[in-house]
Amino acid sequence: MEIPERTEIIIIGAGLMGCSIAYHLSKEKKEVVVFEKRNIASGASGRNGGQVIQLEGRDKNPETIKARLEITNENNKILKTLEKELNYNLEYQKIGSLDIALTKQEWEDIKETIKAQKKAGDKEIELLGKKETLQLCPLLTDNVFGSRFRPSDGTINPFFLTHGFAFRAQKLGAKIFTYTPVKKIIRENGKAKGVELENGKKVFSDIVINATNAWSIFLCPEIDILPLRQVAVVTEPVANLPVYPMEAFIDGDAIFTTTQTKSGNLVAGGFRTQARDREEHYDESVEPIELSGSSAIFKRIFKGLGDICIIRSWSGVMAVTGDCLPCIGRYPETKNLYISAGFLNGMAYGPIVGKLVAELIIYGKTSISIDIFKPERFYKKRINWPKFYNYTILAEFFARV
Amino acid sequence: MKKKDLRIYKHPILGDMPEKKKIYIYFNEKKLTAYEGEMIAAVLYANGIRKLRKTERFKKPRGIFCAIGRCTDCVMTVDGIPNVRTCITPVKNGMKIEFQVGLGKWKKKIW
Amino acid sequence: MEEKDLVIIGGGPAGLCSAISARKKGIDVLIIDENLRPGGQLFKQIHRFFGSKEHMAGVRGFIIGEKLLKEVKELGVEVWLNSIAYGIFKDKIIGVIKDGKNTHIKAKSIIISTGATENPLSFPNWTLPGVMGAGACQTMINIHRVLPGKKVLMIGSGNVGLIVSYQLLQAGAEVVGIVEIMPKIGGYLVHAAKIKRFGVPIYLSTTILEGVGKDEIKGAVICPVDENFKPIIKRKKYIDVDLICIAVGLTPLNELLYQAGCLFTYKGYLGGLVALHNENMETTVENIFVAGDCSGIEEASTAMEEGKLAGIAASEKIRNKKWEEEKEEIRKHLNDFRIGTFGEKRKLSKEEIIKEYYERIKT
Repeated sequence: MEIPERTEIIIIGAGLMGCSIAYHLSKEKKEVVVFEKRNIASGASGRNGGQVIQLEGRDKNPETIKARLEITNENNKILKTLEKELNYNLEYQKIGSLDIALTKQEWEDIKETIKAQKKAGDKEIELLGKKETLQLCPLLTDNVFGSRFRPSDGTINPFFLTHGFAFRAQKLGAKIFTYTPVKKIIRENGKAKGVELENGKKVFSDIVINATNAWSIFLCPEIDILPLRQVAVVTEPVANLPVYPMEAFIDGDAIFTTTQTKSGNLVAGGFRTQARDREEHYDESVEPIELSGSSAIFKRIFKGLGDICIIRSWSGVMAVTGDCLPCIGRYPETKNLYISAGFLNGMAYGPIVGKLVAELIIYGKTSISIDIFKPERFYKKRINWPKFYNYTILAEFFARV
Repeated sequence: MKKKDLRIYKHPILGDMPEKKKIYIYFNEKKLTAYEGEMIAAVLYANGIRKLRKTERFKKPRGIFCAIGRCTDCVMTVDGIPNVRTCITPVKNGMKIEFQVGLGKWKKKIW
Repeated sequence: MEEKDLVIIGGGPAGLCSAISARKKGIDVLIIDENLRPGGQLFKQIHRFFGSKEHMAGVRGFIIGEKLLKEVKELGVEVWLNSIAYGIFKDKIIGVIKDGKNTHIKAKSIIISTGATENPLSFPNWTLPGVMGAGACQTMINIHRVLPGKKVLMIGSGNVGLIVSYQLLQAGAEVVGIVEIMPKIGGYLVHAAKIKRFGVPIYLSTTILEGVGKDEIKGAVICPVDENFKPIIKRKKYIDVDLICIAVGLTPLNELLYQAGCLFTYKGYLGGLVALHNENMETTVENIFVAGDCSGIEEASTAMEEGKLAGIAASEKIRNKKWEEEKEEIRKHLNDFRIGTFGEKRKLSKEEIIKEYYERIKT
């Protein structure tokens, strides 16, 4: 397959966002070319726990809760029929998710969060006491105080989801060039004209979309999106453990476990990593101490999983914006340039955001409002990020601002 | 019993099998004689038992393939723990070995 | 975290020899091995080794193994058994599961001598109990002293196929035949002659079509092939066997080298992807050395020489000294082993590896 001289639309990045956008545009008969530095789903799309969690974190702001719920509800609707639509096995399991509290303080925080989210219009969220939580997930430690349960959350195989979109998009005519890094977006007179590849070749297009998430700042430096590295591990396959995709905040760490994959493996991650500077967050290797830390998660959250072997570990890079919400939409001051980046929790957004970006490009408007995700809010705004950071330090930073 | 024993007691190069302490293990409740230091899978093979497990998806039988702990074809449930590589795990007196179907079941109480 | 001058991963012939040569230079050495006793695959080699007298030719493999173990013990080399090196992290930190517990150890220098794994060969029913690697069969009969089958079909007439067939006969099994897809016997004729004396047929230009059996192997269908290796189906033949052994080569076990960031090249005569290394067995990652089958499939005799070479070269760097003459001597021995049709090709491949090492280390 030869790289064309020009095309209608160029998407940079073949992660979940890039592939979802490519699929939805190809479905509308648009001519799409995707350039990817590595391989499909090489970044965070292939390195996460596959959790479809609508309101990740403990959002208490009614405005953001509403906006996030609206878009992620729609995402859940799409997921219901997506396997059929893509004709691709996604291993989607809508089984609910838990946010557990292992300390009194966490328990109070969860109760407060649920109150705020219910008030903002969330109908399905449930508060489970200790007994109910242990009934649902008997594997959990007896130290649990209680949990938040959301029935419509679940898990999905993130590789299959990304590859499903990529596969279908290619069937519809999209061209995906892997190991083809983009050096820069060609911008002239306030307009995006195409891209220049690492090898010097230029490809022109009517529209350019930056879907590189944690790497977005290298192509669109006006919006400060921060990389955030996290570590994950996967265990040997175990038959039918009663587990749920789960979030927990333990000593300031955002720890997650996911339900089992179809083959029975358990994924967990989020153990505290050493504070690093911005550049070091792109390092996808794992340090020994992080590995022992991750196995400690299992011991802390679950009763007696100590005999189960961890078989692999890795790290991946997510992206954080100034308000922890993604940047989706037209790029300010540069016509024909779009951005869809800054995702901390892409599985709950990917399918719907791909559809909305396609709508925005084709019809000039979206069926669901994405105003709250407008890139303008951070355009040319310097954010005073801490120089050395990890999840915990960033959480403290956001609590301050 | 002697008839089915496939151990090589006499060998032209290696000489006679060294004396070892006799112990007993159980394969699906069946009591088998073993010698200290022997690997689980070797004891089973010595007793003519070559079917060690069935695979998860297609339920196909598996036996020893590499015999050095690489291929994981010989994994079985040992004392309630599934996926133990029996070709490199030595026997212990009273050990309970079970035929494993798919991923097996954790008999040991883990929650 | 515990720190060591030199950590050797894999205590087979290469690993033991490198430990001995480094310890003799006064280096603090640790061997990590996942097995319950070191020696790698040496202890199942009950045949006499080839080569010249000074390299223990004519001595049986397991006796060499015992000699090496004795030397390692006398020199006071630390050995961790039942210890799996699962990862090499940044700054030469090695992750080890020792007796079921996770631990880390930091090394100034690492020698990776993890050996090789047997190649499988797929045909219908090759996954049934009763199909196993020839090396696996050798482990069963010579280490565990159990016959995994009584009537055996061997696939492949390389040295492993021939030697294991002979050892099966010694162990009291019946070898009903050796199947070889090429028109010529792959291994040394000395070994083939021994087999033939026992009346074991070697079927040349023949392949296996399928294994027969429901729960375990009860038979096999073999079939001659034409000059394009296509089976001549009408001449296929059923034979009654309860064990099929596969001896179709080995692949270097190079996961740790890959994880450590070493650069690789493909060398068919050496078994596939092998780490680039220089004439000191040092890989493209400084102070990580490689020796034995994991640096390219050869023989135990070459593995031992490569181990010595790596051991001295690693010691040179740790001690900041030079033992060039000793190394040169070992390189000469290595070349002495690399003779004959296959030896020549391996020698050439090894030379290419060193050349590519210097080309790629520059960029």
